[in-house]
Amino acid sequence: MNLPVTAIHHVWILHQMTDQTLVHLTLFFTALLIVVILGLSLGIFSGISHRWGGILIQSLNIIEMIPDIALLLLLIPITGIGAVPTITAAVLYSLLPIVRNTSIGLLSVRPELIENGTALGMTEREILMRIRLPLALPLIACGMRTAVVYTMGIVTLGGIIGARGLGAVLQAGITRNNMTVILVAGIWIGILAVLMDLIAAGGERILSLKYGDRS
Amino acid sequence: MTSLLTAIGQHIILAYGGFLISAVLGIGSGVIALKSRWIKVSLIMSTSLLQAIPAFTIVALIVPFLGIGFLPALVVIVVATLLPVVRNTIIGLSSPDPILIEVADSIGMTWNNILIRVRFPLGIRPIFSGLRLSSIVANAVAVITVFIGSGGLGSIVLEGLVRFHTPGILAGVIPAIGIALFADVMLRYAENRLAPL
Repeated sequence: MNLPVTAIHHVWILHQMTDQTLVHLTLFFTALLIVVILGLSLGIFSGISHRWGGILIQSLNIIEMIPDIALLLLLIPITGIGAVPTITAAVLYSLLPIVRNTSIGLLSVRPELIENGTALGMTEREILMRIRLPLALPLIACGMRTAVVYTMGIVTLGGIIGARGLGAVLQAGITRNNMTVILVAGIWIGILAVLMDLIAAGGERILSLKYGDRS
Repeated sequence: MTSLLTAIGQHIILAYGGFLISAVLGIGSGVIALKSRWIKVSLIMSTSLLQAIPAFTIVALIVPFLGIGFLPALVVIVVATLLPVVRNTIIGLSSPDPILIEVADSIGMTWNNILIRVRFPLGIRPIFSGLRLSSIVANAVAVITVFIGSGGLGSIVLEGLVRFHTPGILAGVIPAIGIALFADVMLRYAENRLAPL
């Protein structure tokens, strides 16, 4: 039992994995923050404006069809290598689930509830903020969970275009054919990814218990 | 230019060979999941956990177990694409109204008959949305598997990446996008042909 622990410790120190984990999580949370802010605004916009919203979601659908690694590499001529293309690709790729779910969530609120709001003398804006948006929250949270998974995937892939992070350690392990590095970095990324997903799933569950339209 | 064609050929065999295997396995296990609630719950639990793991990590983690080359790459593609198929098949096959299933049962249809004539036709949309997602993932992962020596379009991309040669990267990436779009159009066509309404 002593040997694996020493080996893991050795790999961890040699590849500066504490540092790389921090870089990885910084990339991840930066991209996620941008995606959530941009996705929510675009989602609300497409929930209000049918025509432009449809066009927006269609174009995001097309981006989604591009293999993630291709999107990452296509950005290199525009943005160079490193963190910028990684975050850009993660944002572009993860926008669709949030924008689509926000828009569907806003549009699928039962018409009686909106009528109730109108009858109470609420303005369009109040109806959006107090009725439609809260009721859309469970679906929005579901979109965010998908975005968490996508963003984690692309941030890991960013390691191959010089974004640092744990993907870079993984790639070093593959190119040097070093099984210990592959196992340590791979399992560690797997644990982080599952953890992030579980946190997102927990948030989704809380929101759907609190705001779900049960009827 | 022949090397580009060879690469495209290898890419298609790898990506869509893996896709077909996972479609068969995924739909198969979706059917088995109908038989028992326990299998269904554990399949959904394990698939949603595995889905969170980045594809590049699965690509790397296969190496200590199966080594490098075409076969490990194929296994990676099957693992990475299996999950949306399984989950959507389960959702699709259990989506028909229980009353319809009861009606089918009461007119004397067997379990297999109900499966083929009621559950599959009514669940075709969710099943196909899983298949379409899988085909996009298969195509993307087939590019990444070049790091474990799968060949295909990824090798052209990697060559461009190593030399920092943008047209080289594009030569690998653009066919991959084209293939993904074509596969999606074909699956959408099949879906519309098979859907009952």
